[in-house]
Amino acid sequence: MKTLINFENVSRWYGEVIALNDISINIPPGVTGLLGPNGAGKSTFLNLVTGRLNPSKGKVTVLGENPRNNFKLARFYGFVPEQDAYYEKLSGLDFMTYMAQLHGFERKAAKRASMEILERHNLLTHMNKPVAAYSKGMRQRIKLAQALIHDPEILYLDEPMNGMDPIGRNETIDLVKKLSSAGKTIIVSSHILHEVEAMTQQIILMHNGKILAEGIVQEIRGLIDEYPHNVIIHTDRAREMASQLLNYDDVIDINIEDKQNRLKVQSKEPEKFYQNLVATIVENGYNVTYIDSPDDNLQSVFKYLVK
Amino acid sequence: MPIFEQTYRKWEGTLKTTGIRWLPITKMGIKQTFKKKRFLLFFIGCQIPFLVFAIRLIIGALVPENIENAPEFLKITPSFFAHFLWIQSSFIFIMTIWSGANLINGDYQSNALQLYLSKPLTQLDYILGKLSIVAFFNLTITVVPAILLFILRALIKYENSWFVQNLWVIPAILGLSLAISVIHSLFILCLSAITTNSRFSTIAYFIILFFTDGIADLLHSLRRVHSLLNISISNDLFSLFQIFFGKHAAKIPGYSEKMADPYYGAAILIVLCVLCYFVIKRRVGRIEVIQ
Amino acid sequence: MLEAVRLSYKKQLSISVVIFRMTVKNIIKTRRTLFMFLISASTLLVALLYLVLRESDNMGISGYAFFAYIMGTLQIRGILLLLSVFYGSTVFSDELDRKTLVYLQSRPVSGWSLLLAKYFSSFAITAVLLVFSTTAPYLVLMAADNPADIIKNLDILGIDLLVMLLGAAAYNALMLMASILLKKPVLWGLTFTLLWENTVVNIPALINKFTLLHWLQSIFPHPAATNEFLSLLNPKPSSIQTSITMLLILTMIFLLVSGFAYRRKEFKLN
Repeated sequence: MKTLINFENVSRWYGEVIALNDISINIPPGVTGLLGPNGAGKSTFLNLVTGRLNPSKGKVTVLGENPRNNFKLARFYGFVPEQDAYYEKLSGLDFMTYMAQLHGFERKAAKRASMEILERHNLLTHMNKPVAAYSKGMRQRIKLAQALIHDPEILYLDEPMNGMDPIGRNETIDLVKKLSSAGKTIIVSSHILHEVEAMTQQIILMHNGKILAEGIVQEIRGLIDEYPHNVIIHTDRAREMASQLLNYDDVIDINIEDKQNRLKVQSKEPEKFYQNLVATIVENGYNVTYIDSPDDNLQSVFKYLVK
Repeated sequence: MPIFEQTYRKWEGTLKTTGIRWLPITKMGIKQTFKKKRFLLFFIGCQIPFLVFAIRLIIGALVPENIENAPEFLKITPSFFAHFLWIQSSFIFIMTIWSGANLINGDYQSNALQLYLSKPLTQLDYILGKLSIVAFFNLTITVVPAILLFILRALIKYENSWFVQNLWVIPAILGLSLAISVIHSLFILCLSAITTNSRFSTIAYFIILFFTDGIADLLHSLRRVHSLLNISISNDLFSLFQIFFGKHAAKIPGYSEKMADPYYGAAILIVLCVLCYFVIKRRVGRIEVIQ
Repeated sequence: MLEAVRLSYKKQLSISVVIFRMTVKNIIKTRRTLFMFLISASTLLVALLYLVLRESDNMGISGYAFFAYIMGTLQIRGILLLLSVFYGSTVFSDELDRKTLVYLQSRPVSGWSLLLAKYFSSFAITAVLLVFSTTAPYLVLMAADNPADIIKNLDILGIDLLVMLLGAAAYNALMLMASILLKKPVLWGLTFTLLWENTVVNIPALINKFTLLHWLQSIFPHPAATNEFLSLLNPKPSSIQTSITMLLILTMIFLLVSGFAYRRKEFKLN
């Protein structure tokens, strides 16, 4: 698989504090969620890939080049910072035109491109207002717009949906998916797990400067043996099904709630369990009205690994 | 062993309102400022004149009075303390900027002003809290070492007559130090409230203090009228020395150059302080209205 | 892939011009610039006051002498320093304070292009204000004696403007360097210019050459103001050619240090 961003034994410390501890990772094309609690090292990670920081040890490469003091690389990436940063006196259009001109656009082309992208982000009607007068959500959208104006290969999004309303969030998620299918590489750093999950299943989970897990959410979940998989099943013959399921060696525990016709099954091998469950249901003709795995998600992965 | 429920518990004590509501603002501001290492070094550096004057005082106190032609600088008269405060007032400029230039505009930038004003604090409390941070630092380099010098003199060579004759120096030191500290503090806070840019408040402070000096000198050179020297804020501040120390201020080196009218100067400073206070109040008050 | 990106010098120059224009536009629009304009206009104000008082009193000082006095006191030791310290530090520090440096750094703009654009924008604003504060009182005060003196003393005005421009160039470069290296560039800048420069320039021997003011005063056609005590020290000026060369070299050095410091420094996001 093509690697666009590569970290090779990268460490970074500030005085005695280790922000990143011997990280080695290749980030492939597509959307990657960068997750972790505060102080995990996400900001340091983004500072390194954008060349704002030098690694204390190891090597960072983006498109095969060292990003530090490499202004040419900026042609290929767009960055949405977390901070609320803007030029108070500039209007939305002036700000976008300026950003486009800094990419080498001629003034007229910059203005045209700015208007197009402002329209795409529903900011055209506000383009002559100063950015300082925009709402938080609008400022977030214009930050995204400035990162996309030059059609970059790579996008770094640091908390891109901060302050956005639900419509804005959905639009951003759709945009990220669209960009990803167009072949862009996107790294999204966020705390909002369900939104990251909506954008991608490919995650990097960080904690205390280390990478705890990397890959698809379900695969990671399956590997967390310490916490067996929970499955909730609603069926009219709960006790009967329970006795059948107990025959399987991957099932560790079953909790029966007769009154709700509910089973809570704990399995250490979820894939095997689902296969067996389907076979059991079909063979015995059970009437199953509900099946769910409440901890087969990013939130649980996060909770279990970052405890 | 009792088992405690790990949930939120309502505070069952009584909430006491202290007489000085703004004191937490002051304490926090002082604590934050002292955390900066460079400031700490500067603060220690500001005490060097105290050491020099203390040595001069000790030598002066030990020289017998009946020695003829004893050097003037060894005589510990009220002008000794006025001179010390004059030296320290030159450190006040940098102390004021360091501790005060970012006090209010920093709150603008971080939107902390709404946090302050959403507590049971009035605008006056906020202003007093901020003002007292700068005033504290200015007073620690003026009134504290000056009073210590006075006490040192009394301890080294206690003479009832000297002590009684010069007891007025203590309120003079207190009054002068307080006046200078409050004026500088109000001034920098006003500039800090006017702009969100601490660099501009620093430059404006310097310009208004030193530039007006240059303008006053230029105009005085055109027309030898003493009241023109009152255009200079520095000269007006010097006039406070004349008010509090009277004829003893004349012995401060450089005095002859600064002979602006003292009461006119004091009046200008009072007007300036009142203006600064109203500007700060207005600017702080504007934040409460969401535009 | 990156080899295909040809960021020509011409393109970098055009981007620098964009940054220059935007920086100047952002600075001019502020109330701070109005305040600085009023400071620069103080020389004109004083000159006009001279005119008014001259009518009523028998002034012992000619317009030319008063112009020389204004230049030696207010201009070279006040306005030049204050404007340079402020604008020289503002152009870069503003980007840091507003956190908008991240936008400039995530664009294909070289550090040198960025810094030179910032430098020239602060130099341009300082220069315009200084030209105004030098020329306006000159016209008023020369005309007060004899309008023909305006043309007669044009060479003096020319030298004054050269000194102001060289001073603006050097001090702005120094302040740009300070704003990259130091946390409180204005405070250090004021301490350096108002304390070090104004004091050490009066000390004879080699030490006074460690001030920019020495080289400026060596070219300056008017006597610089100083107090009676310091004037006894009577430091000797350097030659005009040496002074101009030194000022240009020092400007270059400050700019080079700024560039290298910018490349080494890590402006991280918090």
